[in-house]
Parts: sequence; structure tokens; C-alpha cells
Amino acid sequence: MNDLPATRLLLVEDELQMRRFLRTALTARQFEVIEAVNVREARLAVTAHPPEIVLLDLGLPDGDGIDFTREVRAWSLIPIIVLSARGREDDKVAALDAGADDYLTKPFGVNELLARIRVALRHAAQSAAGSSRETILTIGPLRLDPERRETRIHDQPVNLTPIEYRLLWHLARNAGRVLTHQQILKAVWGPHYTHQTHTLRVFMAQLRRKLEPDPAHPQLLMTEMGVGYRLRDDDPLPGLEG
Amino acid sequence: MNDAGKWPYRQPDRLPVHTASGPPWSGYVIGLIAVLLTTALALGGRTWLTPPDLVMLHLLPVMAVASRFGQGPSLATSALAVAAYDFFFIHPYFTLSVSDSQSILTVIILFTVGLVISSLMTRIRRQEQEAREREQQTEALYHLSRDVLSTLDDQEVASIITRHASRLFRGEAGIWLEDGNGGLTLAAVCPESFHLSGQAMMVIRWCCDHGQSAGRGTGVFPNEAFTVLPIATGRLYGALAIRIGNRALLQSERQELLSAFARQASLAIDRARLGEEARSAAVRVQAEEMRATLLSMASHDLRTPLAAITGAGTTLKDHDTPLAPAQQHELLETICTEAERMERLITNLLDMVRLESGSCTLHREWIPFEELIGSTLVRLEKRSLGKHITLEVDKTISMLYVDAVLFEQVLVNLLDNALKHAPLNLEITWKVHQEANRVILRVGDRGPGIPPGQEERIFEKFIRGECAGVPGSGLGLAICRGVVQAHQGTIRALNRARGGAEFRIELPQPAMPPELFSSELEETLIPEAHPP
Repeated sequence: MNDLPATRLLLVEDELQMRRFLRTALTARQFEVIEAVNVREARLAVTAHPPEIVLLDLGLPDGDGIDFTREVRAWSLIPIIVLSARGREDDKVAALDAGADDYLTKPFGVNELLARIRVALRHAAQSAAGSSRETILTIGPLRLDPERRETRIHDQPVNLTPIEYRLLWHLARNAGRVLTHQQILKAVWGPHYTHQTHTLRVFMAQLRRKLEPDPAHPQLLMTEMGVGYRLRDDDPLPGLEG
Repeated sequence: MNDAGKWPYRQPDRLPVHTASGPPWSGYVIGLIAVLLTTALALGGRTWLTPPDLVMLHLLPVMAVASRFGQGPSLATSALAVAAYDFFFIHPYFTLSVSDSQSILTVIILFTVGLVISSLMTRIRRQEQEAREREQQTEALYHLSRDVLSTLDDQEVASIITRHASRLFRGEAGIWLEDGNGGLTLAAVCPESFHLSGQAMMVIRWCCDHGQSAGRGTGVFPNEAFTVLPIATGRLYGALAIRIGNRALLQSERQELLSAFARQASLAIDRARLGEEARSAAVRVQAEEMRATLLSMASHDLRTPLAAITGAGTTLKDHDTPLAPAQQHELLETICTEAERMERLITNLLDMVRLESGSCTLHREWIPFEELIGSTLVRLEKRSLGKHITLEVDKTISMLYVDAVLFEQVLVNLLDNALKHAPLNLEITWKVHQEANRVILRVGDRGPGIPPGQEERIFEKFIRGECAGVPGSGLGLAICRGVVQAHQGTIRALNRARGGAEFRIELPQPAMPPELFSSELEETLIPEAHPP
């Protein structure tokens, strides 16, 4: 990472101590940190020098971070990671559904934050490339070939139904990110089925039985209780084959 | 106000004696028939009957009619009997005239005896009827006092009272209670249609202000259609308004019954109010105790990790004492560990407060049991390294109907508890099975178990097992119990036969999870070459 040009990062946070810790930690890891202490400054910074990623606190003195997220999403796909002391699942779902890429509850460790930043940046790069649709996806032991509609785990072929495949594909395309129930239901089943969480759960259980050696102790298809699901992706630089 | 016509029916002061069923003239007809029959009988037996027998015989229809019907029919029957006797059995026959003086006396005596009998019978009947009424009223009062014992809620007590009042007085009743701000609020009415005008409310207000009865039958607002009685036992609670629809009540009786009823009502409301106060006082005391424990715990348990963090931080910051890299690392480790500990503690505290404040609503949904277990195990992955966890799940259970987030917390707390107390490498077991409409979940360890007599206590807040050196907030199990109870379930702790503790959750479950909407969809969807 050291050879890469510094990543421009906008830090929106009103707490001085939090800013200090994040600035120190991130600058040391090759980030160019721009700071904003309220929504007004954040709006200015986002439009004036568009950053590559935004770290956003929710409780800002002049507005709510969720509204700001929605505002930015209206015109931009900049990855936004929410950092908040609000740890309730409803708050996470609200932020993610508003368009945030990820959600970290305070307090968090710096390694956790860096991992989330990496995932968000990689996902943004993939979206920008726009070509990954036809690309073979490899996440850990999992390999998805969209052209042949073939799924392999540890190189063993797995037989998936069309919906299971679409579900897995959607999770894999967003590997490492938490997707809310609503987002998954909308993407896989369509906008009219967003309240069918129960069905999603059953399909996830089926996927686990097909993909996990021990479905009661998943290593790949992770549950974020009360929020959604995440396909675990520990590999910082997944192989993009094609 | 002085318009008596507002009262739709005037109540007679003397109650008419209730007559046997049938139209009002039926007594007269029966009297006539009885007299005719008697006379026919007497005519048939006149050859061997003595004259006194004939007289006696003619008293029979009078007695029969008097015992069954009111004064009118019995008087008429008695006159008719005398006339018949005179007509057929006194010389000159077949005329109503009487020739000799002895026969005149007979006729007079016959008529007098008939009158006496009819008035005596009427009185007996009236007394009997009054006794029956009184018995019914006593019984009604008894039922009232019994029914109001069933609840301590003053609204409910009020509605029971009005229900009884409307039944007992065959009318309408309403209760207004003081609301504590000097106002009166309607607590209950029966029937629902009972409605009082603004002026009527004035009467009720007057009754509450003066603590005296008002309205009909009293000296104040006597022309109102209803009577208002204060509900008070030394202290005034409100007023009871009753409109009596029962015409058969004597004026004197009515007042007596009303005041007996009001007395019962007052006692019932008094009891409900005192019970309520006692309860809220108990809740206050409990809240006070909880606050005290919380404060003392917060000052200890939050300060301890803070002390370690501050200590380590200041040591690192102090440049005068050079530290070896290993020492520095150790201090940094302390800061991170203690901060995590504080975070757990604060999370638990917040969860507890949320559960207790009632602001936490359950979002129950069907969730695969496997998913709950899986997410619990993942959350405790780091801590459960090196410990053996076995899972035994009844194959028939696949889904649980719970609040996923809260219930996951229960499982995390239980497993965390087992991990803390179970020695390394000793098994932790999960067992789940279904019994009728409930799911039973057991988490067992092979640790030291629960000290005897502590099985209930460990679920209380800030109570820690007597295991020295095991860190914890004393909130984990209290949260478990809070969540399980919110799901209408139970949680118990017991010691296992071969050592170790077991926690046992019983959860009532609805019959079946909902249908999947995708089952048909799965087949009908045309497989796409690639996802959208």
C-alpha cells in the first residue's frame, strides 16, 4: 500500500478526541485526511474536493448523518462508512438503507476500521469498473462463474436453485459488506417482497447447508442479527479473474 | 327544575301487591266461577248439609281468591258469595231479600268474615313479597361486595359497581371519580347509553363538594330524575349517580338500599385506591433500591477499568521513566482489555435499562434455530477457543418465534456464562427439544455449578456467582431472564447430576411458521443466464 498515492478521506466528526485519534491512525496509513465538524462543512468538502471515501458520524451538531448520506447518495456513489455511538440494530438498518456502505459502532478498533475501509474502497472500484458482472468471483473458498452459472466451494461443484444462486451472487458481489434484509430481498426477489424476511432466512439456511461444513457455526455466510447478512471476506485483495 | 313531569313515571308510595299472572280481570272471573261452583255444590248437597255447613262452604271461594289475587277480586268474590248464599239458601228463595232476623245476621257475618279474610290474606301476601324483595337486595349487596374483591383497579371496581347498581335498581348508574386535580372524571356507566346533562353534572359536583347526597329523594335538587350519593370513607373519592327504574321499591326502602349500596361502593373504591397506592409505593421503593445498587455498582465497576486505563496511559505518557518495549506493550494491552471490559459493562447496563423501562418492544419473527446458534457462536468465537461445545438439536425444530436480536443476546450471555465458569476443555452442551407448544432449550457446563439456594438469586441484577476472579457485571443472567419473560417464557438454573450448571429455557411457541412465498416462485422463475 505504501507505493500507492494517498487515498483522500473525508472525516466528518464533531468530537475533537475522535478526530485526533482517527487523523493520527489514518495519516500513518497513507490516507490524506480532510476534516469536517458538521454537516455544512461536510457538504462543502464533498462537493469542493470529492474524497474517495467518507467516514461519517451520525450525531452532528447541525444535522443528522443519515440525512446527509441520503443527500450524497442522490448524486454520488462515494463510499460512506458510518461511525456511530448509536449501536441499535434499527439505527444500523436505517443508515445502511439510506445508502451507507458500512456501519461501525463506537468504540471500534483501528484494524476493524481499516478492514471496512478496504472493503468499501474495493467495492467502489468494482462498481466503477462496471464490468465485474461477467467476471468470475472468488471469495475465500468460494468461486462463482456467472457465465456458466457455476458455483464451487473448495473446488467442489455445488448445485444451487436459481434463487439460491442469485442470493449468493448478490452477497458475493458485495463480499465483506453488510447487506440489510431489505436490500437483499429487493435485489433478489424484487421490490414487492421486502417484508418477507422470514423467507430470506430460510433461503440463507439452505445456502449454509450447501456451502458450510458446519451450518450451525458458519465461516462464510455471516448473520448480522437484526440487520442483515454478510459474506465474510478475509482476503484483503481478492483475486479478480476474468 | 320544578317540573315534575320530567320524571316519566311517578312512583307510588305503596307498592301494589303483585297478583298472579294473567290479565287484571282474571281474578274477578275466577272469583265468579268459584262462587258458581260452590253454590252448585251446596245445591247438590243441601239435603244432608246443615245451614252452618252452607255458610262455611261459601267462605271457601273468598279464601281461595284472596290467597291468589288482590283486594279487588277478593272483595267482589266475598260480595258475590253472600249474594249467592242469600239467593239460593235463605227464605224466600230465589230473591235477594231476607225475611227473618237470624238470616240477616248470618248474611252480615258471612260478609264481614269475607272482608277480614281478604284483607288478612292481602297483608300476608304483601309481607311475603317485601321479605322476598329484601332478601334479593341483601343478596345483590353481597354479590357486589364479593365481585369488587376480584380486582384492585379502581376503573374496574367502578364498572362492577355500576353494573350491579343498574341491575339492582333496574335503572341506570354512573360513577365519577376525583382525578386529583380537583376535577371529576367519568369512571364507569351502565348501561352505556346513560348520559347526564351539564346541569346533572352540577348536582354531582355539589354532592362531591359537600359530601352529601343530592337529587331525587333528598332535600337538594329533589326534582332531578336521579339520586347522587357521595363515594367516601373519611376521604372523598367521587360520586355515584343512580336513576331508579324499579317502581316496586318503597320510598323508605329505596333510601336505605341506596345508602347501603353507596357504602359498599365506597369501601370497594377505597380498597382499590389504597391497594394502588401501596403498589406504587412498593415500586418506588424498588426503584430506589435499584438506583442505589446501580450507583454503587457503577462507581465500582466502571471506575476499576478506568483506573487501569488511566494508570497505564499516564505511565506511557510519562517520559521520565523509560520503559522497555515489552513493558510498553503490556500497558497498551491493559488499556485495550479494560476498555473492552467497560464497553461490555455499558452495553449490558443499557440493555438492562431498556428492558426494564419497557421501551423495548419485541419484534418477534420466525428464525432458523441454526442461525441463532451460528451467530452466537461467531460472536463468542475468540473466547470459546479451546473449549468443546456440543450441540444437540431435536430435528423437528427448525424455527423459533422470537425477537432475534434479544434472543441472540440471551444465548450469548448463557454461553458466555458457561465459558467463564467451565474449566478449559470441558464440554458445554446445548440441547433443544420440543414439547407440545413449547421449545425447551438447555445450556449445560461442567463448571463448579450453582451454590445451593442461589438458583433464583443469580438471576437478580448485580448478583454474581461466588466464583472469585470471574469478571462480569452481574447483569448477564438478569438480562436473560428479562428477555425470556418478555417472550412469556421461563428460565431456571439447576445443578446437573454429574456436576456443572444447567440453564433451562422454556418458550411457548405458536404452532407453525408462515408459508414461504418463494416455494412456487422457485419453480416458475425462468433461470437467468446471469443475475440482473
